[in-house]
Amino acid sequence: MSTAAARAYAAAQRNTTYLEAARHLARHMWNAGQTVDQRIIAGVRRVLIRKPSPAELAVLRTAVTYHKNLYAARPQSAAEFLSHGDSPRASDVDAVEHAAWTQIALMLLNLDETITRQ
Amino acid sequence: MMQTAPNRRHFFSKSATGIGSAALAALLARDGFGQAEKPKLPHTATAKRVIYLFQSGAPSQVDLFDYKPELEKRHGQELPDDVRRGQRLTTMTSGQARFPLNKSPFAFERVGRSGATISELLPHHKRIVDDLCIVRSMHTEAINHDPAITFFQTGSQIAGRPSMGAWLSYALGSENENLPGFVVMLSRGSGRPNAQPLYDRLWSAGFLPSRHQGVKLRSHGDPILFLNNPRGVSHKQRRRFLTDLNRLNRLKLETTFDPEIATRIAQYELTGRMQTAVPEILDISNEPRHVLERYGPDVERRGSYAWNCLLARRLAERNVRFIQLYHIGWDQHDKLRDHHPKQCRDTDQPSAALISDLKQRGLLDDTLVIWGGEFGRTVYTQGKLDDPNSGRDHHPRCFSVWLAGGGIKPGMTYGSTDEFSYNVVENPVHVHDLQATALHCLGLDHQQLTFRYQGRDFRLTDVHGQLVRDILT
Repeated sequence: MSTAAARAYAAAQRNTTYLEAARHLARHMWNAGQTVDQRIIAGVRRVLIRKPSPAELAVLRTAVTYHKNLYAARPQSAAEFLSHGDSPRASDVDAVEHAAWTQIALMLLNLDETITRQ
Repeated sequence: MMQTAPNRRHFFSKSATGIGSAALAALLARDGFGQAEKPKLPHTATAKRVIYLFQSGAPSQVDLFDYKPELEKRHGQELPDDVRRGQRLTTMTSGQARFPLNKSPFAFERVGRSGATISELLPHHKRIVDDLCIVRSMHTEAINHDPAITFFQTGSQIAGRPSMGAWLSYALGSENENLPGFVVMLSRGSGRPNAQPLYDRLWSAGFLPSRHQGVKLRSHGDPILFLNNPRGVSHKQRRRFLTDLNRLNRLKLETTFDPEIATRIAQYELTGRMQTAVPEILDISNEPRHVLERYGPDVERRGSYAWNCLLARRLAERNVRFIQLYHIGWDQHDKLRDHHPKQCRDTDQPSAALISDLKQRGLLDDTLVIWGGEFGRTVYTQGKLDDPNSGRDHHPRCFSVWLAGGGIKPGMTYGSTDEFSYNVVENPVHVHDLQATALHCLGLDHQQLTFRYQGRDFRLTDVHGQLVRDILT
């Protein structure tokens, strides 16, 4: 961790590979449950191999709503956000939902706990 | 880097629950968040920030600041053994059968009220010479580039210790919350464009919390990689994303007290603020024409030394603590007569412009500017004497640097070398002495600025360093 630069921190939120991986993780989360909580739990388990705490769950729930509302108002942005990377987007997930959940997946991939081996 | 605060983490992890929020507040304050108190300095600072104009590759002191008239007479004679005293040479010249003294092919002139003697290759330095303190008696321990640069930056030839800018960021914090406390910019010299590379570890934070690491502004493309928002993400949305991400990281910090999580939170927050602050630094469109012209013809070429000097002034205006430039290409083993003047053309006018620009804006008073390389060059020739392809080898025994502003006496020359510019004969200044003096200008005692790591206290100056009081105002 000691050698990570500010730009490396930024990289994980901007890097195409991360964005693309987040898109696929989002689809996994979407298909792994029926409710918001189930989907969040599936993502946290996949990335951190544990369940989210109630406090974490609360932050992530609110974030899902925020990004979903935003992309519902701007479907073009959702399409753009889902276009990072070479792999095709699976059409079994609604684009607005997929874009919002990709934001959540990206957040999980950027957690200190995810990046750092403790 | 969990070793950095084992006691604190240990204490917190063993404490009963309930200490949480108070402990967290203290941790955040210590690490520079929230309402951290101003550090108490052992004495009054004469400088608030540093601009370090590092001339990478090692400029030849014999051809710039250390004029040796005796060489006119002795040109071509063998370097006397009692001068060299068996001191080591690099393998680039140790195999030479002869070590003929090589006078400078360039003319020198006494300039300014202070009467410093400088090379004709630095015409713009004439204007600022009375603002400079030229130290002709620098010496170092390293004889090759990387260990020598690492020594200047970190106080150790072996990589891994914090860079000077990281020490200052750690000690004094940042005065601009929108920019890093330690910014680095590189430029390539036209004298030797394919010279040695510089490693990012030169501006590393070493064992200090990693947010004190230097942030490099790239010379092309995005100045900081991945700072822009990805397609399909608005600025507001990215800010919200960072806020949520930091909420989650903070939840983790409350249970682990790992200072590196605090660092990551701070970096994410800084990333968001830099999104507007960095483009503003690079946008020089409102600089008046006469200011741009002062920095010379290269100033509008991004990534040039001139551009970097102008940016250094803009960063200084915004109170960035440590602004580190490197100009590469000063390694004149060969073609000294062609390459050395090119390096001077790259740097002479912008360096002078930076000093006068800072001075006009009242910034020179509290900005310490340092110009210099990692060692000097040999007075004897590398290659054949009088051959235009010849040059000079590495020489750690003596070299010249200059300092200006921030509590340094202007218009003086300090220290001297023998008539061969081979050994220091008066007022030697070791690398650790220069570091101790720079820290002093910032209000810091180099013996007190320590960080405990792996069981012992470390300093920028290791266990050495004498303050050079004679050059202080």
